Amino acid sequence: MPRLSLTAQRPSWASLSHPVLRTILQREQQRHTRAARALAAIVGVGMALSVLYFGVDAYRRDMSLGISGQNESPVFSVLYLFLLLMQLFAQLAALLLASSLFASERQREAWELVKITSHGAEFAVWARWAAVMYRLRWLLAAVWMPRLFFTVTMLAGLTDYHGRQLDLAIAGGAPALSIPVAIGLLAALMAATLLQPLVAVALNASAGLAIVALAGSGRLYQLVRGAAMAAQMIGFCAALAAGWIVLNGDPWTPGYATMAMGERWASLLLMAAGGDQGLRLMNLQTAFRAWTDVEYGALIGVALLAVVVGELMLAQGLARWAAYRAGRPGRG
Amino acid sequence: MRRWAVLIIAGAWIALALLVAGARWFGQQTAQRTFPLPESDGCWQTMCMFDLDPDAILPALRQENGVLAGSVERVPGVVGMGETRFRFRYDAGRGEPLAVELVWDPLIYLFTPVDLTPDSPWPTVGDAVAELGAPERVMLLGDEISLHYAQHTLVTFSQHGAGPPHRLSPEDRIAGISVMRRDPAPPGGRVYLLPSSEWRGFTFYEFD
Repeated sequence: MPRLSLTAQRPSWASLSHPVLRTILQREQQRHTRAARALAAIVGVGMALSVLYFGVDAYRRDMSLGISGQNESPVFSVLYLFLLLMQLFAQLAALLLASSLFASERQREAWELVKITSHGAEFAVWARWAAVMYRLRWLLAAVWMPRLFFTVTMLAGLTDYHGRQLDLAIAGGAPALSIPVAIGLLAALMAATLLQPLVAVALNASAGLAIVALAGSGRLYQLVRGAAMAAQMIGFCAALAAGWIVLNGDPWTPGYATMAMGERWASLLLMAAGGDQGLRLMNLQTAFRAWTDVEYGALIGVALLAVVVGELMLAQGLARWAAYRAGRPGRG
Repeated sequence: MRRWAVLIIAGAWIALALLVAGARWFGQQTAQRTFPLPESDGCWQTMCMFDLDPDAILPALRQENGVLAGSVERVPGVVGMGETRFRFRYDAGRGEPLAVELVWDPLIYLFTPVDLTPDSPWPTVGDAVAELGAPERVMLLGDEISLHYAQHTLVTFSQHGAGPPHRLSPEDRIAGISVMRRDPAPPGGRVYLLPSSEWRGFTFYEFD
């Protein structure tokens, strides 16, 4: 009978006891002095505290940053911009780390030896992917823990109105939903928003590896990597702007009024998938506003979960392709 | 790796669905009491108002569950309107007892809160819709929006925002709950002459 435990399903290269992953992490640790790491940590924490202070100050002045402020809790209003920037930073860091780790490895003389070893290049690529996730673990935890808190807050919010908060959200909306279906859709939204930032970082790490496999480690690599980062930032801003018009729900603005329902739905999905990774939808009132204000808005969670699965498959496909291409003979 | 990821996603989805269902159930079990809404047959708690004469209302109110017996008083009605008014305090078992005014007429009666505070046990529109279900029609009446039910209950609350269109929110406070003695709706549905809309949930409304 096959074992169904998560540990048993985990690939060997993702384990810290795997020699390739261990070597990469040790080498990375030796690349920077302790003082440099401490300085980077101080600067990072300082910047994070500054953004947090900015958020608190803006909230005190009754200005919510990046959100409408209507129906949002104080914690959500203060943390939204902070988490948004941290998520973007994690995504860019994954892209940069993965590509630089792999590019520097390919410049080493030992790379040719790795390539002729059985599955050597494949393990090397996957272990670098795992190393990126491991290096970013605290940042990912910082991004993820508030999401866990927001999920608990959403669950607590469901007890309001005599436990009929969910019933109110689907009353009169389109399409007509039964309670069991609504429970499944809300759970899909919660699962997707919990997983989305982790998957986005994993995808970026794979993209970083694929860039090196495609463009080598020279000038073209620098160019492609720069273009990928620029594209990510532009996509991030565009996705945020698209969803902002819909979620801030100001029907008096011409931008909102002229939008077709399909366009509103697509804007919401774009924001959740490419912008804030579904963070805005982690507020129950906002999520339910999206359900009622946008036709078929209740299906956003399932669509986002499908995006998460698609991104995971793409991340795996890109890393596999990078491994295949890196292992081909005659390429540096 | 794919199997590993699918296991995590499916597991998270199922676990969260169970938690959502559990939270809903827990909310229903631990619901806080609010001021009781009139029933669809026009009765409020044990009082069927249209069967009473004005003099019987005062002693009947004193007998009602949650009504502080010493707080019930008759107050002057509107001259020439045939209305009878009462004030009483209602204790829902949480927060300060709520002062409520009851206006009674042979054809309609109306409950309105007096000195409403944020922690008052007076229901919100969300509480009302959760209990009464979806209204038959949403209507704009002056500067107020009201929810009309197939039977007798009418829930009104002040509109907000720079509308039109106007947003309905479950958090909106109800300004008054009235019950009207009227015939059941005809087969083709009731005709609403004032600007109104069908119920579309807690979203934006435009009235025509």
